[in-house]
Amino acid sequence: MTEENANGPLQADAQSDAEFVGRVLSSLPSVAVPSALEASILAGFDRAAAAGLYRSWLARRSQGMRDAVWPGAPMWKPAVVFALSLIVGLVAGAVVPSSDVLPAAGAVQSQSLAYDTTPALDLAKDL
Amino acid sequence: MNHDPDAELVARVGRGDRAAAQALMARHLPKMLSLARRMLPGRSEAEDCVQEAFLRLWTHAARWRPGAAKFETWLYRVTLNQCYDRLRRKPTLGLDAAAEIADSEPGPQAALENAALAAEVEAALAELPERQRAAVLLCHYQERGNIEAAEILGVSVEALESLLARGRRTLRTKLAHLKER
Repeated sequence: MTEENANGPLQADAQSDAEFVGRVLSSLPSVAVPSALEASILAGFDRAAAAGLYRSWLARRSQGMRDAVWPGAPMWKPAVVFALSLIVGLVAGAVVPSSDVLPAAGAVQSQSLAYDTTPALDLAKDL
Repeated sequence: MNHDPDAELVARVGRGDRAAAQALMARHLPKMLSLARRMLPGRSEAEDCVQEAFLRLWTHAARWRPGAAKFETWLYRVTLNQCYDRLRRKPTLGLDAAAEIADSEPGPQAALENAALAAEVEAALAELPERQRAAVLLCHYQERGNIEAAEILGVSVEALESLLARGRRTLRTKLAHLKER
């Protein structure tokens, strides 16, 4: 028996299975689309469209700001420069002491004494 | 490259055109819903699944670029993936759910008369492994060609034919008693 002849019954079975399945599936009732589902899907579209409009407005605004700061640069460049500046500023603020806490170099410390006021020393009590 | 009949509508949807969205929905919703209804055990789940697929469409339409795959293929693949996700989350309800689907279907008079037969077919379909069920439904219920069905399922044509052969054989064995009707 050749291979072709051997496959003959198998192919006939497969064809018969296909016809049978086609026939039984055609007995299934058609599926009606509920109008509430259509309305809900369109409501989803309206929400997505509104969000898309907001995103495109936001994108245009950020494009304008980006071009003002660094024309032609991709968004990450000014963002990285800004972030680095912020970090350097914060580190400097935390590590380097402020000049109004320390005396300036070479400054002479002075103390004033007023002779026309009563001394703070009470002889009766302190001696 | 073949002309994609949906390409223009998808581009318009991407620009926020509601009429295009409505036209795209009218074109695909009935078939997507019937596929989801036969894949999933419950009506509400099928509706959720289709709704989710359309939401994906609305959010991706602006980024859609016509390429090798047809838009329709992508859309049905998304729908089927939604079905698979739901099937993995919940166990199949089986015969009762299948009967409920057939009984609640507001179909024509002939379909109502055949409700019992439809319920049996639904039940046999529900028992098929999900990929075999999808292959059988795409080729026999939605009458798609093997190449298109294979693209939707993301498998080779040979793999699709194997899924089909096994699915048909199982269905025929389970529904052998219907042969004489």
